[in-house]
Amino acid sequence: MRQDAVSRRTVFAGALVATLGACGCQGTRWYPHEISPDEHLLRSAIAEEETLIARYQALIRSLDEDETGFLGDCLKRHERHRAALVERLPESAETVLPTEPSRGPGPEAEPDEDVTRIGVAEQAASTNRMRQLTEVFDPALAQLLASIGACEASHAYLILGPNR
Amino acid sequence: MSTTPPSPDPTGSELPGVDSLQDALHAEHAAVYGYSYLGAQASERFEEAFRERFNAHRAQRDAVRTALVERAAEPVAGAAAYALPDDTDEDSLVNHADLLEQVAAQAYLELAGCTDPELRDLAGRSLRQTALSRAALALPLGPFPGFPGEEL
Repeated sequence: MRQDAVSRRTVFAGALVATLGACGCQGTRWYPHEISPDEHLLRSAIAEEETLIARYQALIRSLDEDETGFLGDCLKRHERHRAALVERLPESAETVLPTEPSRGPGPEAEPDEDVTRIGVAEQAASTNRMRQLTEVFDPALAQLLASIGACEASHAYLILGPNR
Repeated sequence: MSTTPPSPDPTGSELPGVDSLQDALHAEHAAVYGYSYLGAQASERFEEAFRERFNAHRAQRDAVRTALVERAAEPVAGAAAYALPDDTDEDSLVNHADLLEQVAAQAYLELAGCTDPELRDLAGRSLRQTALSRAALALPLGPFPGFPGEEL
């Protein structure tokens, strides 16, 4: 009899867990993962490229034309990076809600932009690419991130010099 | 029907990433050999840069070799000799350094495509190092280091 009572409790508890489990999958707080981890990371990298592009554009606008040659080349390479990353987005990407904004600054340029700050931003971007390449699943995307990170490290070197 | 198990591969090439590591080691052997020559032939202007690159590639070669040993693979040995520039003028030496860096960069880009995060990290850091070397030698920078011609 006692054993029967325990057994009944077990059944009720099981039913409760099953009900909660079902609510967890189908209730109002559940939502599908429409964006894969790779796409999430890709969007984050694209946002970082857009920030760098905006900062270069602001800096170039503030300088004399004869001072901007090298910076213009860096800007063009970043535009190529952004285009290559955008190309990797899935075809359905436009119909999907954007991911949460990146933790870094928005695409607006810093108010007191200067070359050194851009160099530091390049260093940070390169470090991020090194981390991202170990996190993505797609091997081709890992290769692209490794390559972009190497280019950004070169920018930082050329801007800040070998000892930074 | 044979029941004989496949013979063990001393290079360990059946393991993921090991073939790419062996390619990277080939490139590093060539770079260490090449930079030892370039350093000996260089003018004062490039002597220090070549010596730094020699030391950097020797360290990278050892890192790749260690990664292979950790994966129970037998690291490929260096060749007795590698191609060297025909001339010893500054342009020829720098062009040869460019070639060494690009070959190493392509090997590391290949390694970055493996699934092992540890090897991807090694690949990323090493690819970055080759790009920095090219920057230090004032060689033109393309948008996608490691890809042929630094272009997609």
